[in-house]
Parts: sequence; C-alpha cells; structure tokens
Amino acid sequence: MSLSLAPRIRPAAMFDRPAQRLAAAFFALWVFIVFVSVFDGYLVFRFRNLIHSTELNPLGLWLITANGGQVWALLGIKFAGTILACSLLLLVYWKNARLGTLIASALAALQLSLLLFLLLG
Amino acid sequence: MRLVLNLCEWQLVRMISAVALSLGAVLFFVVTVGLVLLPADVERLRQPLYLSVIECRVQPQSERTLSLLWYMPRLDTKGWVHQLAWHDLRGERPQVEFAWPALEPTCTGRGAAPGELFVGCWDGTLWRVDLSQPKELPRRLPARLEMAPHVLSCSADGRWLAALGPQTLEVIDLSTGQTAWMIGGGQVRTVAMHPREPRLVVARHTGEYAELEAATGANVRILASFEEPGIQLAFSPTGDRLAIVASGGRHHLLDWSTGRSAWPDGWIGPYSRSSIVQFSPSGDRLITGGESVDSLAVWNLRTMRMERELHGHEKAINGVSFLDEQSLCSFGADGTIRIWNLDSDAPPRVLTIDVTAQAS
Repeated sequence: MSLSLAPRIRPAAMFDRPAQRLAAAFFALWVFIVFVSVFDGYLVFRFRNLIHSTELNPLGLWLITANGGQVWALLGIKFAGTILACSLLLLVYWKNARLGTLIASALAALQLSLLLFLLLG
Repeated sequence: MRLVLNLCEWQLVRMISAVALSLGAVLFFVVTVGLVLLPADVERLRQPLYLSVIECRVQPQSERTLSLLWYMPRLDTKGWVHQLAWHDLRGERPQVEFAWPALEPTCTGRGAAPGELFVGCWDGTLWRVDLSQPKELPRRLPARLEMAPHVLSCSADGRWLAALGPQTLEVIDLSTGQTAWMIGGGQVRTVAMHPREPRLVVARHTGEYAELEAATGANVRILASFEEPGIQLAFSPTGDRLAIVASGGRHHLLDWSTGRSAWPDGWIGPYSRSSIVQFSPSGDRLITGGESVDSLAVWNLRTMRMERELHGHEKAINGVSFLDEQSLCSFGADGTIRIWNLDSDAPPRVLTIDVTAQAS
C-alpha cells in the first residue's frame, strides 16, 4: 500500500486535460477566496475609524465593541479564519478533487457576493 | 503499526503543507494589497483634515460670506467639527475666520430682514445673528428643539420660523420665541416657507404636499400628491412656482396657484441623484443636480430647456447660492466654492477653503 499527496485520481490520469482543468479551476477559486478575504480585511483597516458604525456582521461588531472600538482582534480572527478555511479546503481537495472544487466554487460564489457588496453596496 | 505511523505522518505533512500554503497566500495578498493601495491612502492621510462646505450664505453687494463648514482633523479622534466661518470670495485660498466658535451649527436659514440669519445647533438651540454686525453676539431664541434641525425657513413677514428636525417640525413664533405648533412622528420630510404669504408647504412622508397656515398649522389644501415624498423644496422668488426634489430623484415643478405641473405637457421632469434645487433671483433659471452628484444642471424656465451642465467639483455638491442672475456659487464636499458665470462657458473660479491653521 502506498500513500500519495496527490488527490484520488489514477496516476495515468494525473496529466490528462480534465484533471489539469480541475486543478487550475480549484487553484483560481482558492486564490480568489484568499484575495477577497484579504481585501475585506484591508477595508476594515482602511475604514477603522468608521467600522464600528458600518460593520454588519454581528460577530465582527461584537469583536470591535469588546476591544474598545479597535479592529485588531477582528483582523486577527479574520485572517486566522481565512487560513483555517483555506487549509481545510486544500485538505479536502487533496482527498477528493471534485468535492474540493465544488466546495471552493460555493465559497468563491459567496466571496464574489461579498466583494460586489463591498465595492458597490 | 508502521503503516499507522506512516499514515499519521502523512496526514500531519498534509496539514502543515495546507496551513503553510494558506499562510503564504494570505501574506502574499497582504503585501500586494498593501503595496498597491496603501501609498494612495498615506498621501491622503498626510493632508491635515477633511473639509466640506455645507452652506454658503452670500450677502448681496458684499464679498464677505458666511459659510457653514464641517471638518474632521485626520490625527484627532474628535470626529466632525462644525463651524460658521467668515471669508471673502477673492483669491484661490481666502482667509477664513471662525465666527462664534461656541456654536455647533447644523444648518442656517435666512431671516426676513436683510442680513438676518437663523442658526440651528446640535443641541437643539436656535440662534439669531445679524450678518451686518459680525462683532455682535448671536441671540438665542427661547424655544429649544428636541433634536438638531436640518432645515430652517423663515416667513416673509419675519414672524414665523419653521425648524425641521429628524422627527419633528416646529414652527416658532418669533415675536415670543416660543413654539407655536408642531408636527411630530417623522411625518414631515421637508418644509419651505412661501416667500410672500404667511404659509408654508410641507412634504409629508406619504408623498403628499400640503399648504399650511404658518400661524396655526391648519391645513389649507393638498397641493399635490406623488408616489415618493419630497426631500427638498424651493419656491421661486415671486412664489408662483414650487420646485420639488422627490426621494427617488425626480424633480417636479408645480404652479403654486393650481398645484399642476409647470413642466411642458407630457414631460415628467428631470432626474438627479442630488437634492439640489434653487431658483435664480429672477426665477427664469432653475438649478438642479446634474447627471452625477458632483455636477449641476442649469434649466432655462422660459424655454424649458437645459442650458448647460456644470462639471468641476471633485466630490458631491452640497448646495448652490446665486450672487446675481448670472453668477452662481456652488459648494461641496471637496472643500471648494466655485463661482460660475452662467452666461459664459469659461471655467469657474475656484476657492479652496483651508482651516488647517485655525483647526490646529
């Protein structure tokens, strides 16, 4: 029995086009998820003087209030959550590429909605 | 046993790899976003304060002007500061002198007498000032509103002052300084006094526009009714027309005597995201917001055509004031006052209001 870092795809299929496309799609979605999360964090930092009145997430608002209006705890937890979520996503992808890509697609769609809200809302 | 150990080892390697990759990606984007976006912010933060010109009370036959400024020091946590400030309309950076720094004004409204101005403050107090006597202290009216007003409008006979706050319209009897009557419950969205008669028009939250007696608040008539409530009202100088900006951005122009639309038949009027509406001194021109919040449209009410759009402000325009029939002064959130010659295509004269010295 051997173990591999590669997802459960037959070795012969590792270099075929569908697998490459799937890997590329996952990578793009994963990078997009990280980017939107970082951009959201940047906006929190950029508008830290107003965020206590504009933050809509109740957990985020609680973190800001609990830290006397400071945003650093919110930023720390936001980035820790991003790293955790992205790590889990990678683990799922390595275990099952299709499932990982499916979850990444759903998360990317949510992140796209967040990005549109942040930019246009 | 060895297989189990190998399995655990591999899982650990995967986990560490996943976390390392995620951390690397987050750090990469933090550095990239920081390098791309922060320099512009740092440049902006180097400016000592943000300033917005909210109102500009130009005095006829005088270069001296009283403006209502809101500014926010960058390196302070006090937030907005509200000040009335004297300045002239000459030069690119006119000298600014704060007037009555103890007041924290939210709005002003012209009185009936020349040079008379009413000032509403954050604490709900109302003050009367004489612009021709700038050294004189303002006189406080006995009436005090529950919340800061954002509209003040005085009747032509100088007897009644309508003060509109977020929830309540109060009409003050200026002979006693006490509240004569009020409408609460957030029913009134905006208000304007008629320039000739002791009447006022209120825009109700239901979309109705009602004419009321200034002395009693008695309903005289329902002038018009639209789907959207009004957010800004302006009478023509003779009081024969009423211009309305509705909350959806539609502009209505009504004949005051009939309540009918004064726009040409079949025309529903201009649309703008801005709430600006102002008649020229002759009533022949109407200024409204343009296609964006930082532009204005000049309408010729004789031909019922738009003469031109005025572009130049870098942020939203807060209001306009006529110096004379041809000269228009616009002021906005970019901290500038621009003086336009409406009969010429020449670019406006730009005055930048700078209170860095006074604020520090």
